[in-house]
Amino acid sequence: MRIKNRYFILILILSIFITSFYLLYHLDKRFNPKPITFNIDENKPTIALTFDDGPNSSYTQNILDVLYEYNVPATFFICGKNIEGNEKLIKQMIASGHELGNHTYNHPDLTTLSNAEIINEFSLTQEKLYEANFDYTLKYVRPPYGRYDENIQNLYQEQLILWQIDSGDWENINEIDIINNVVESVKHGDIIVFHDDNNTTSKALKNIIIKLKDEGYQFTTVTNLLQLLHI
Amino acid sequence: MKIKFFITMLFAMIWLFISTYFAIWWANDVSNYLPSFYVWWVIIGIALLPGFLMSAMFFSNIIHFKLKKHPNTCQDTSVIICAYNEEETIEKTIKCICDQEYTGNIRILVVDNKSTDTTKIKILSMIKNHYSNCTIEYVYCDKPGKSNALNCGLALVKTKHFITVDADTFLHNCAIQKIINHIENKKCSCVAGNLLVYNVKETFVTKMQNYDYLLSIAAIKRFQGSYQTTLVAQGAFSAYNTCDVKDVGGWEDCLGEDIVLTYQLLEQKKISTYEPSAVGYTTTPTTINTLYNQRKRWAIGMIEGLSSVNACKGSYYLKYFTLVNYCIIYLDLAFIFGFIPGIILAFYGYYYFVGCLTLFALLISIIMFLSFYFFQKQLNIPFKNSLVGFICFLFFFQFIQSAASLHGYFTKFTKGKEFWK
Repeated sequence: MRIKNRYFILILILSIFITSFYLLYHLDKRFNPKPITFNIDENKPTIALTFDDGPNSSYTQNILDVLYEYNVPATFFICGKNIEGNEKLIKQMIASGHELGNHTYNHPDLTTLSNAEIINEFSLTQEKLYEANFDYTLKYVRPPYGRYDENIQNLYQEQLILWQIDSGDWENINEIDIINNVVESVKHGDIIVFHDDNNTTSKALKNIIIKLKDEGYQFTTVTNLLQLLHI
Repeated sequence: MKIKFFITMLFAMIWLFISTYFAIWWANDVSNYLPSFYVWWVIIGIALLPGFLMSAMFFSNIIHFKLKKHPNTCQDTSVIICAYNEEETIEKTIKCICDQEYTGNIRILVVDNKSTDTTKIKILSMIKNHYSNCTIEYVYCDKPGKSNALNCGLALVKTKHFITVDADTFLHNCAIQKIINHIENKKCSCVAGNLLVYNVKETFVTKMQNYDYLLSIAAIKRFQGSYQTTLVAQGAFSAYNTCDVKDVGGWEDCLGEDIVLTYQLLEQKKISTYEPSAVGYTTTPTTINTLYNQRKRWAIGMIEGLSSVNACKGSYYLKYFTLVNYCIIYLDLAFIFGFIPGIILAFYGYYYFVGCLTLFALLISIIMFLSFYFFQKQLNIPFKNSLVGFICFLFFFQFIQSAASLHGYFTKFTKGKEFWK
């Protein structure tokens, strides 16, 4: 091969590798971000943001981006059926320092299931997470639709986590209503529920965080909030 | 013709619309992770634009599937063969022309372009033989360069039409009859013949090229020829109207002299078509190195063709096909800097540009290639098959093609020099 050809091919291969390296670097930064750092001041009002029904390939990334931008840790109650195909999002959640919770496998109304079926729903999600090579134990459970009975409460006791404020983002309401639902009724120690399966939530989230930070609120995960409240 | 072109474009636009609908979702998803400008640049370059161009070609070739036959003509014709150190193949090339089943007389002008081997002896020995409807003449051209050799030959042509054949191209026994029938009856300025690979079984490189000629090049020429705008009447085997070629001043001294000539004819609103039943078997490069150099030259020739004329002066078809040629530069860039990095990302588990959808696209390509293959099959012209060749063509050929083409564009844009031989 002529020398000129060799040089050109060499430069071409080098350019391809530089392009690929840049893309891989970009992706690595995306999926292995540095953990969100936060210090809790016990004298300031503290709340926990939680997100149900994900991970969602279309919308969860936007939520993660907003949280990362504003240095806000959160808790994601994931559904087992959504793990496959979204492993990179879960990897990103864990690497960013967010907390994961269990929101069943198929998102059924648990009050209509037998004990064995309920246990199976939660354990399947945990197994799926292990299968996806995540050495992560889901500490808390949250029943879909917030429906639970005495039986479920007895089964999971302190592990059962609900919320104090419903953002209402599951009702197809607009961004302003979601913001108002949260900002107008929030108080110290509240757990707020959102859903990372729609576009409106990520848009509203940014404004909610800005407004609450302005009001002096600080954000943390469910585990830290419960520790702070000595529950 | 206009209606068929309109229907073809409509089909391609529908295809583009549907694929864009899905691509928006794809691009939005990938844009979450990679710069969105780059994502769209790659998706347009490796999916949307190739999909549009391929679907237009596929649909047009389907509606032009039926082979047109032209009445036989017996007018005398001339054949120009340019030879530069072609001692190994020149005899066979001449013999194939002498053995033609052609009703008129053929005058073969073999232009020796300063050969330093035994080419001259071989030509002179062929002249001694007697052929019923064929005369062979030795012409010496002391100005090196293929265009100079061709112009030497052209100056001696006295017939209404003439044919150019490369010294390593062997014509099928009725190729001249078919191509002259076409150019005479259609009143064209030039007609490109259907080139297939002669040395298919030689190496895996020739096996790959067999399918490039059989499926890609032929399909593109058929698409362009359906609208009388074949952009390259290749020097290896084409027929020309003598007056039209002389009117534009013959061949320019450049690397893509045949491309430039065709463009010049098209710019003057002359007709350039393709005759699939006129088949020639050409000797193709046997190593990656020589293939790379050949494709580099073709890319330079394409740029020379594009820059030599003002396509706006030509027909709507010329404008469309010229635009397609400009798009090819973008497609090559997108393949090298989009698709190949996409493969590397896939190895790391990021299936953003290359993944399951690529396999689906591959399946569609195979279906398209099959339709082109069956068209060639209906011509009843013998050609060889090789499964290894087809697989290599499908998976590896574009890498060599795009890299060599980019090198060609780069050489041309930086005013670098390339040589015919």
